[in-house]
Amino acid sequence: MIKEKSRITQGQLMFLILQIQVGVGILSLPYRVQAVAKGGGWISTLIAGIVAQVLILILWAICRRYPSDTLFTFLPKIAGKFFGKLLGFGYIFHFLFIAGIILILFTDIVGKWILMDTPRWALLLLMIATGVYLAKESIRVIARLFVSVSFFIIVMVLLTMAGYTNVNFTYLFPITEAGWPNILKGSSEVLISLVGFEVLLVAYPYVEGNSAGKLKAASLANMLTTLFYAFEVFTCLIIFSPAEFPLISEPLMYMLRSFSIQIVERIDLFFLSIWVIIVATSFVGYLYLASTGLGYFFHRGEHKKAVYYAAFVCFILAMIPQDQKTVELMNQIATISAYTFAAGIPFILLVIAYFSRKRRMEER
Amino acid sequence: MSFFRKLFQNNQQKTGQGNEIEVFPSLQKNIAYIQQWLFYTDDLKWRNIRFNGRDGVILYLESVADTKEIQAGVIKPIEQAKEGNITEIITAVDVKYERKLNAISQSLLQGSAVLLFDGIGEACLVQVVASYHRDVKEPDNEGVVRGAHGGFIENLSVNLFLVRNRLESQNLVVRYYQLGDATKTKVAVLYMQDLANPDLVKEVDHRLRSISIDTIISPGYIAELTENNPYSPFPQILFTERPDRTVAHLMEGRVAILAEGDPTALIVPVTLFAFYQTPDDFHSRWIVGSFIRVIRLASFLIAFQLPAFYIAVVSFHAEVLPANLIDTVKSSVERVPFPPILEALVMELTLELIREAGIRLPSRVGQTIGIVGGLVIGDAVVRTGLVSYPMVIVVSLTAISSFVVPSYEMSSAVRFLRFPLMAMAALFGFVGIVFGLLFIMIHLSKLESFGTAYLAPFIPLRIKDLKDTFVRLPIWFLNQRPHDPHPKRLNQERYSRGWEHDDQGEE
Repeated sequence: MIKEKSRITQGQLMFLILQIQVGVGILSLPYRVQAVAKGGGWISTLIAGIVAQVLILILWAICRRYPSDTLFTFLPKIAGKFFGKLLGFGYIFHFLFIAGIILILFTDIVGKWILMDTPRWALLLLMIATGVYLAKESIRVIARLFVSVSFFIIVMVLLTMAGYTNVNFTYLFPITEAGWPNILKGSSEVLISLVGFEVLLVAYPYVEGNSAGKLKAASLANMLTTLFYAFEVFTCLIIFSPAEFPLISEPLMYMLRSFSIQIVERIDLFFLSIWVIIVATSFVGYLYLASTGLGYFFHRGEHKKAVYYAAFVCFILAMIPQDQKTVELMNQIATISAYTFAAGIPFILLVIAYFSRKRRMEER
Repeated sequence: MSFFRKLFQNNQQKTGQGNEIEVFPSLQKNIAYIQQWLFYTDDLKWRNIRFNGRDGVILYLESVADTKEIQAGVIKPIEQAKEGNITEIITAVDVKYERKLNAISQSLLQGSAVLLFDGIGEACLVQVVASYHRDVKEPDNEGVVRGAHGGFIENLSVNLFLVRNRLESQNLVVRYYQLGDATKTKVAVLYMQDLANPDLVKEVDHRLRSISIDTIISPGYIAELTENNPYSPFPQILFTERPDRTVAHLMEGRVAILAEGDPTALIVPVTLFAFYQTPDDFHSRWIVGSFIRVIRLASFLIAFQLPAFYIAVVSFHAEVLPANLIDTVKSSVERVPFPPILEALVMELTLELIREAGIRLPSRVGQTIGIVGGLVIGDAVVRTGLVSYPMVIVVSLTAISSFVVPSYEMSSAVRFLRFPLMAMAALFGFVGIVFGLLFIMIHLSKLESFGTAYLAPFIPLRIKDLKDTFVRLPIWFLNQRPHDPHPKRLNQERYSRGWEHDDQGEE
């Protein structure tokens, strides 16, 4: 059972999900969405938020059936011993892979914007050492820290507001310039940045209170993330003309770079520093998830021992890509992995759980 | 691994000395035994007496016992009465009987006079300890502008008096402990029965009882043996020499530990923010008090980040500075032949040297240090072009802000922390600082002090307690005690300004 000392409150669950969701994608998100959905990018973001909400509902519906089980303990109960374990390992690889991707994108952007000459491994070590230091703690300590660093999201919003001195709303119109199919396609770009709610699968039994409250917390987190993303996308859309967009892969950074307040010339560097914290929390989240799985399989539930080699795997993963092409490829894999493990498999699991229960009821 | 464990761990079991010898019937034998037990120390004195027709002897250590008290309270009554019941005759307050010779000899060390009679298997112990102590003065390291100026001294009973005097409540409980196998230091644990959480009291008791060591030198030894994480640079126990501060903490449901021979009260559990509060906050007006507290907390950030930030800006991100400022800074920095990190390290270490020298030297020589530090380091170093002007500003700012912290231990912790941060800044610029800060944040949110989160009420967040954390709101706002020590009773203030609404005007 879950010990009293490692329980978290519903508010902490909210920030946990929020911090894992908001992550590495935020800087390039407006660029990727605009490329597909043009001026309707902010609608894509909102649609993606709704899709994520549906997925959260699915995850919640599964978790609700096993209120004292984490992902790794209820999988065998649904899918049978063998497939349950297989899926468990599948999830571990998914978590490790996403953690690796976060590291890759992190080093890419930091290498591009501030530390051009710093070797990649040094940056990785920095991130991984910090990540390990936190991920080996109980979920309660992690959640506590995530609550306090959420303050920085507010700072990010405030810094973005600096952009509103120079906006042009006409850039938005016509809203459906790209057509609804493209807007929907744009939302699939956003969805990959919204993953992180899978943490619900593992965190669910640790949360105090009833299931409705937990759903509320998760939904609120998703809503805040979506609104935050939509705000950032919207701001970029009204600041940069459609012609500028293809040239700038991190619109938020370019936007902040052009502004200066009296004593600080480059706000973007501060923004990036805060962004590093946001990325670190996402990384810690996935590292924790992966090591909980490994801990369940190999260390009788002690995730602490698994953190070190899980982090090492992430390090190797992040060292693989040497050129932009491999990064793209790995990104593609991550997208597929995210769709499979955050959407596809949970849905199938829910269906199986539903029918097996029905059958059991009929047998009675 | 096991080799290291052997090297660093120390799990020796305590070995008892089971020889419990009772008092001999023969007086000479007893004296001989005690003399031998004390290795014929020269300050062991005795005087023969006669009482109830028996030969007797009064033994005492002249270095610990008060000879005047022995004369007036023990010898005189016995000489006058000649016979009767000892306890009724002796005028001293604390009299007890003891059969074990070891305990008798031990009580000699604690300032008892021992009465032994020929043929009686029991000794009479009369407490006649001499006490010499200095006056109750304001502690130099914790001065305040307003409010009480008394401070603890090196005498436990005076210290307990100072606390009791301020807190005349039946709920104030004192529990004595004896720590240190050789020093037998008397330690008192104080708490409020109706406020302090029983789990906390039990935990303090448990940790104090597990101390097994020859020497106890308070407060450092007790703190290091009982705190949660001895590997952390942050102090997890608040040291204070102020009785008023101790009382305030007791009334929040915390536990205070006082030791004989030391003017420091150890307060547990505490949070980081407790180190940034002073009694002065509550004696000045709340707006001013809040302002000063915000400045103090800002100084916490400045003290360990400013040098790192400066290094990062100068060596990585000079573009952060606006154009007109960049000229000023660069013109001075460019003349310096060293990298900024080296420049900063040398200056910061010099500052530490000056500070350390200033503490140890008598105050008359201390002035010389000030002149040497101010003139030579401040001016000459820049003129020769070894260090840039902005660097001197940065170093002096950090020094000043680190001294703003009301607690000396926290001040040292903060000053120590800037060195790793400076190294990170020199290696990775802003990213390094961010990771360094994140690391410290993680460390702080892991840290606990006797079951209380160290960053409470910030992590875990409890908005109600923020009223007395970053700012100090008016006292009538603080209806509840802080939640972090989990007090039994939360309410502490009830409508004290009710009079404001009473005066409705007369009909």
